[in-house]
Amino acid sequence: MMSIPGLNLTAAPPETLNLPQAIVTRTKVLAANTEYRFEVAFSRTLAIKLLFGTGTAEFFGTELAPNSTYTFQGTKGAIYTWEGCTLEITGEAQSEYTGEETQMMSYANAHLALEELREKSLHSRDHGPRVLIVGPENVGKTSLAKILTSYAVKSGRQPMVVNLDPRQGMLSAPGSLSAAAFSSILDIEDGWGSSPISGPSPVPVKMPLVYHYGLGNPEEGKLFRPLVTRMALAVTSRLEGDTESRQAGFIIDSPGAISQGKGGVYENIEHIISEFSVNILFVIGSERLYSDLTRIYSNSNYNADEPVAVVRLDKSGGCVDRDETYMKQFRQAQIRSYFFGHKGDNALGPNSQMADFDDLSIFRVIDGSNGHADFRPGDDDDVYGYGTTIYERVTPSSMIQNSLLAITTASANDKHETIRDSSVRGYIYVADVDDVKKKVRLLSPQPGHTPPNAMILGSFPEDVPGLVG
Amino acid sequence: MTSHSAEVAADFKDALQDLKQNSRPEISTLTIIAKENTEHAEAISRVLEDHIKTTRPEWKLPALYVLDSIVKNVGTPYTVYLGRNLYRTFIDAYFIMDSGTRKAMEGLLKTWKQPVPESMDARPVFQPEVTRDIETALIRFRTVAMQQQPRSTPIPTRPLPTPPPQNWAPPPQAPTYTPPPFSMPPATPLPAAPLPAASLPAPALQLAQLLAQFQAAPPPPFPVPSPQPFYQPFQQPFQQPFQQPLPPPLSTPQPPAQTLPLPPALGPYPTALPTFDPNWLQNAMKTMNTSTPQHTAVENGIQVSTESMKVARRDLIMSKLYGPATSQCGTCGRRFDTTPEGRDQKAKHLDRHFKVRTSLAENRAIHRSWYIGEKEWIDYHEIDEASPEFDSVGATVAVPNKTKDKYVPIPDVKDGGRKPCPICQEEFEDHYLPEEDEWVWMDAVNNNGRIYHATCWEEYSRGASDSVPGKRKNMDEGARPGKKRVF
Ligand SMILES: Nc1ncnc2c1ncn2[C@@H]1O[C@H](COP(=O)(O)OP(=O)(O)O)[C@@H](O)[C@H]1O
Ligand SMILES: [Mg+2]
Ligand SMILES: [Zn+2]
Ligand SMILES: [Zn+2]
Repeated sequence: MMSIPGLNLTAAPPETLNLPQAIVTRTKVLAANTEYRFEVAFSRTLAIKLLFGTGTAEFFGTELAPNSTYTFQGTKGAIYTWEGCTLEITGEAQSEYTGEETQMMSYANAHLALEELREKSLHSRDHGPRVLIVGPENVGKTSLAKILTSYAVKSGRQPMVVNLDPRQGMLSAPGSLSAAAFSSILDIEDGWGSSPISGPSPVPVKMPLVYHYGLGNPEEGKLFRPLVTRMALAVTSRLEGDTESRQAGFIIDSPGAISQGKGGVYENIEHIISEFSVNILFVIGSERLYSDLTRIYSNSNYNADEPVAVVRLDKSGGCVDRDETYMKQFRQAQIRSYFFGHKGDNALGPNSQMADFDDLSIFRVIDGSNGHADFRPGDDDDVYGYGTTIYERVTPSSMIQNSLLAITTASANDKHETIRDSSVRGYIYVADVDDVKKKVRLLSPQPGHTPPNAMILGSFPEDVPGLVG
Repeated sequence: MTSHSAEVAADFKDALQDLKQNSRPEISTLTIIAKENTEHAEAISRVLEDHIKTTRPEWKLPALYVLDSIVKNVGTPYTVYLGRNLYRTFIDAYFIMDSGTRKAMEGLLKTWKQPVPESMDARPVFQPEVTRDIETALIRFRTVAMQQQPRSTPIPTRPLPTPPPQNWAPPPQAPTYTPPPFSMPPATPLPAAPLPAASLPAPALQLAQLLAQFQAAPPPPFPVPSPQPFYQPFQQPFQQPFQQPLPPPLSTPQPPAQTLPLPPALGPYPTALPTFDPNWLQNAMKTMNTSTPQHTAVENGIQVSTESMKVARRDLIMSKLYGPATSQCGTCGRRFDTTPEGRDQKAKHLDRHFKVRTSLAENRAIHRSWYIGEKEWIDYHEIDEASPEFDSVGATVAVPNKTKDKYVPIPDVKDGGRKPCPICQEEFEDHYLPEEDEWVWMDAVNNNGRIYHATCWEEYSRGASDSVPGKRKNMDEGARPGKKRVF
């Protein structure tokens, strides 16, 4: 095992990144309560500047600094203004228009309602609001989670945010589930922001707890619910000692798939609500889901210590359906930025290192589609008895080239349940496999040994060809 | 008055954006505009600061000369407003300058510690606290820079300097500058000859004319005492014929910024000037929209229900999210209360931006850290970087001083430079400690001039036979993030 210091690694540029583009600068005057909605391709850059003295503006709840230039790539989003403002926009958008009708008033109301509960919890020293956001894909669940988080931070809180949607990572790679308390603003240009790096970061980093799920769909396979249980345990323990976050409460963002339900039954939603003791359920964009959940959690039917308030919010007209092609590019961008940082000042230098096949203990997730046709979700107590098979041990081969390995805190000899429940320390990327010499070239976020820990290889996220150029 | 401020500021900003070299006439014009609009001094100061911050590096020095000219020729209230953020304005610009420009800036700073030449006021241009902080920072910067390789290229900063918009026209909502409803003489062209102070037209009109002149192709024939077209910041203030007597609170203490009654001698204004409201921008925006009273009650009885989400609570939302008594960080947009604590927090916050920028400028290789482990995450709690606690404990909860938390500053070349750990032969990793503002090796101890991994040394000195050098495993023990992690 050796590392190659001095090997100057740079991220392979996305193919079309450096095409010349017409830089057209224009100003956009926004009236109060409207938003500038835009979509920018991954190969393009859109720069947005709030002109000084013209009013205030926010991006999913995070306020823009006047006269600072924010650049976006591969982003769909909106700059909203409560009071009216003027933006200066440079670059090429795939689509852009002014949204006159938004849901910001109701989302801000949601924040105000949560703030009251937080105030109460200050006095009672009890838990603040425990929120779960559900709804189909692309109805703005993650956007609402960001708005509520930003507003809470702005109000001086330290809310805990839990991402249970593996299709899109939060402060981590796709395929993961994560949680972090937010005490600093979200990074407008970079989603939720950045996990810790070895140097300073212009926007303070966030400190996530990460588990690797390794599948795209929580309704498939048998890992999702135990991981929710584990996450709930960790979050609950954390909040016991963390007064500030306990009092601010938490916000759980969820994958659209769990809102489909089977015959009016939503096992994963119910599981999350009971494991996290959720007491506020925001339902976006589906009348049917709302009425089903209202029925399930109406006081007469639901017997729990505390009632669950089911609140319906409308979907914003600005929400964009993101097709698989976009989602795939989005995930690759997330993985690229895990290793190489965001851009400009935040550029990171990962480490290339060689490892022997024997150095790697890789556990591949056996998903639902893989010989477990009779798998029924729900009976995890039986399925996860002692010594269940969740993973299969794989020896490196060209099959794993371009894939992402999650480094757990478990050792290779641990039980599968232990590996599953271990949090993740980070990811390494398999850049190259030499079947003859039995060596792999790895991309690791930092120099040092290739860890001997158990590594999880999931079917999700998909391979990232050519991450290293 | 406040939306008027925004207009004046926008015009001033327009004029600033044409300033691309050290041109004395242009700098004089800008100075005059500032002088004639002292009631908008705060807005103008902000625009100027902002311009210095965002304009291209090569246009920053001329803009700093404008600042210098204004504080020396006009004085209060600009010294107060510009003094507030001078630290940032100056330091941010300083870092991206080449060494020649830095020298020029250091020269400026020197003059700011002294009284205005030939002035009767014996006090320095800026209050000593203001300049002292800058000097401290420069000393610290030079120390750091000396340890680094000498660099010649300008250091990129964030936000990346973008060229200012070419022809920025005021948005339709904010129409071009219109004179305020003073009774004013009919528009007469500004005489090119020396202008007696008494015959000055109404300030607003004059501003419009000055701006028009400023934008006209040939520089206005300003009568300046020196024939050279360059602004010379180290000289005495220029003595234009139109110059009013300098603000005369010459030997009295500077009045506080909040209610700054200008000395009547200053300008052709009616004597009682409006007081300066530090929240003019927020107020301006409030009056632009609704003018309903603010709610301040903490509990408003907002139900967690579908119906309650549909109620329009605009004023409540505005007061909660854009509180009237807040000031925004110009770098990241975060808001702070204008209370004393809020001001402390903001100062701390700005200091963090500064430190980050300084060390980004050092251009060290940085990489993603490993995530913290589950147990450590559970024990972890966030500390706001702007809170008073932050310094003492750093970014994270205080962890008992474990062996691997030991660190040493990265040794200089003369002290042997970078050598691997003698025990495991591994290289040390560079880490930035925000609390110390220093680059260090974590998990390191210095024994008789040689640097070892603290954990290696501990095992070695314990004589632990079960430990295999090079396989330091302590995965389950928490370490502080961003610090040496070993698997
Ligand atoms: N108001 C809006 N204007 C423009 N784009 C928006 C708006 N709200 C959401 N989007 C975009 O629509 C997409 C779907 O929203 P998202 O919050 O991710 O939905 P979900 O989490 O429910 O799948 C995202 O790309 C998001 O950035
Ligand atoms: Mg989502
Ligand atoms: Zn800031
Ligand atoms: Zn060592």
